[in-house]
Order: sequence, then C-alpha cells, then structure tokens
Amino acid sequence: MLCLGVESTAHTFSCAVLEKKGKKGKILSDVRKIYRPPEGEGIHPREASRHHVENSAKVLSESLQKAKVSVRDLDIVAYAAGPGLGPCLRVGAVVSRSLSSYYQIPIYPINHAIGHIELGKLLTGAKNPLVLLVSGGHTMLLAFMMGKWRVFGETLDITLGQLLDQFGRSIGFASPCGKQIEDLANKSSIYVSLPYVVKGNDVSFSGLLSATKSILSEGVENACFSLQETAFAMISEASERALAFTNKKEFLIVGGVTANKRLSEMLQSVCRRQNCKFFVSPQNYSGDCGSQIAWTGLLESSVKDGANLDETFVRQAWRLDTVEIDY
Amino acid sequence: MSLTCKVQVTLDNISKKKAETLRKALEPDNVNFPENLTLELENFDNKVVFNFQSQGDMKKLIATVDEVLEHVQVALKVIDGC
Repeated sequence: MLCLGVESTAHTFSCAVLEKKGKKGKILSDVRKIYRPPEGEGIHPREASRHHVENSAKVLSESLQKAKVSVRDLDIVAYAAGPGLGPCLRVGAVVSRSLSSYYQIPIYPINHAIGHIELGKLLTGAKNPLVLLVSGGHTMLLAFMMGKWRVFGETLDITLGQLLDQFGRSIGFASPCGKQIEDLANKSSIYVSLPYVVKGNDVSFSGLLSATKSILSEGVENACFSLQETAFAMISEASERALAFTNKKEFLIVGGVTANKRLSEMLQSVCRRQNCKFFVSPQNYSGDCGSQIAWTGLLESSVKDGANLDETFVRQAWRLDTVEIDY
Repeated sequence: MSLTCKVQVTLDNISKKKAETLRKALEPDNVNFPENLTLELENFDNKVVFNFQSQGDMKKLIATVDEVLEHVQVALKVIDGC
C-alpha cells in the first residue's frame, strides 16, 4: 500500500511516499523545502505559508519522481491537520484535498505530533516506549495507555525548541538555532547558575530564557553551556520520574531537538539508571517531514476509511492526547 | 457608518472536474472567519465563483482574497503537475 504524506505545520513543506507491506514500512522518498526567516527573527506564519505555496507543486512532483510512482499509484493521501500555524496547515490541506478530490484517493487528516512518535517507533523498532517529544512545537512526556497517548509531563509555557530558538535569535542567529547553541556550549564548561523549574512532572522554560539573556555579559559560550545544562537537566529529571512511575523498559526521544548530542547523553544516563533501553529517532527524520505523516496515515488506513472531504479541517491547537488510536 | 465591500472572483474556462475539485479543496477552510467577513463558494459547470463580503476591515478582506487566490493557484498547479 502506498501513501503520500504532506507536512506543512510550520517552517517545513514536505511530501513523502511510503510503502507499507504487512507491519513493515519503507520510505520511498522524502522531499523537503524549509522556510528560513531572516536572522534574529522567528517564523512569520503568512511568510512561511507563501514559501509553501511557491514550493508545494515542485516538492510534490519531486517526491513522486524519487519514489518512481505516479499519483495514480497512490492508495491514500495523508496530511498534517494540526497542531501548527493556520496559514501553513491550510497549504498542505489544499494540496492533499486537491489530489484526493481530483484523483479519487482516500484522505486522512493526521495529528502531526503522533506522526513524530509513530515514525520514531518505525525507524528505531521501539515497541512500547515512554516517549519524549521535544521540538519547536512540543515538549511532552508520553506513554500509550488505553487507546491514547497520555501526557506524563509537559511544558507549562514555551517548548524546549522555542527556548533554544528564542535565545538563539536574541544573539542574532536564524531559526532553528539549536546547532549553533550546541556548538557554542561545547566550547565552555563554566556553569552560571540559572533558574531550574520543575513543577510536579511539568517544566517551565520562560524564566530560564529571560535569565539566560541576562547572563550574556558573562560570555556567550558560558550562557549557552549553562542554558543547555539547566534545561536538559530539567527534562532529564521529569523523564526519570516518569520512567520510574510507568515502569516502561523503553525510552524514545523524537522531535527536532533530538539532534542535540548533550541531551541524548543525559537521557542515556537516565536510562542506564532505570535499566531501560534508549532509542533516538534518526537525525534525518527527527525534524518535521512528510514520512511521519505518511506512515501514520498508513497505520490509520489499516483500521478506518478515509475522511469525508468536507470534514478535512485543519486544527491549529489539536492536542495529541485527544486522538483515539485503534491500530 | 461602516463601509461594506464585496469582491467577486470568477474562474472560468476550467473543466467541470477542476471546478468541482477547487470547491472541494477550498471549502473546508471556509470556517472560523473573522466577524463581519464572509466567503461563499459556488461551482457551476466550468466555473468557480468566490463571493467575499466584508464590513469595515478592508485589510482582513484583502488578506483573505490573497490567501484564497494562492490556494487556487496551489490546487491548479498540483492537479496539472501530476
């Protein structure tokens, strides 16, 4: 079975073709174009959506060509229906609805966050993990229970990705800034004390962001190092407590921030203490991509029919813990 | 007194199938519009008609027309390019 997945929740417009045979999935193509805001600025939703408008047809045709399939070979189309930026989501939805209507292909609206998790499971082989989803849009600890992904902890304000991006932009980088911050952090080992806020199993980063900006006078490398150490220690504490509580024997991290090696190191050490297997989504597929959406679409199609076109809405604030999972 | 503005955009000379596809591709996003702004979509044979109406806020009207026309462009490119 072949699925085209369309991702357009934020800065990435991506189309991917995946094939499912039994329980196995194979990525035949995954083409992406990423909107880059000017240095020091964040994503402007309307500018990002214009980028997607300009690139959507080209990305789609390149994706089909790379997969060596025609649109008529597709069995289903899946698109990221939310959560995300409204103008960006609508571009992906229009692309998918157009194909679905014109070529009579069943269509599946997919929750973007669940896409991250399902592709992570497919690519790592994790079966029943505690999941840490860390990206620009999410910071959540999740475990699957009774047909839904349940939240065992999340951010109370900005996400880990936003923390890194907003701090990075304040020192002149263009989003996403995680790599530059990690490179600078690697040049220092001087820790400057910063606020550490874990409430129950939730975390809060907005005070940490303000405080890190205020210690820039002590050196940008020191600020980056201290920011990473504090934020990742908060995440590690919440993860360790959730592992101890759920007694899960697998831990999977997904989302764009998984590219950070220091975060992986700290979480690996948590897993060693908790006698738990550590899985991390491959870097190529940890950020937003069509493969996440296509694979989740294929899983959904194994248990339900496609949606009616007139009900294929976009949902900007669609929480993953409201999605019932039957596959 | 508030200004009422109506904008009608007609796309013709497209096939009946494309006209129907355009309506179906765009109609689901015709929800949660700002107050005092409406859009009605109709397709007849080889034609799609968009009727926008706004009271007061011209910026929102212009932005909406702009976005809808972009979506029309995307839909037609996607259909023609495959």
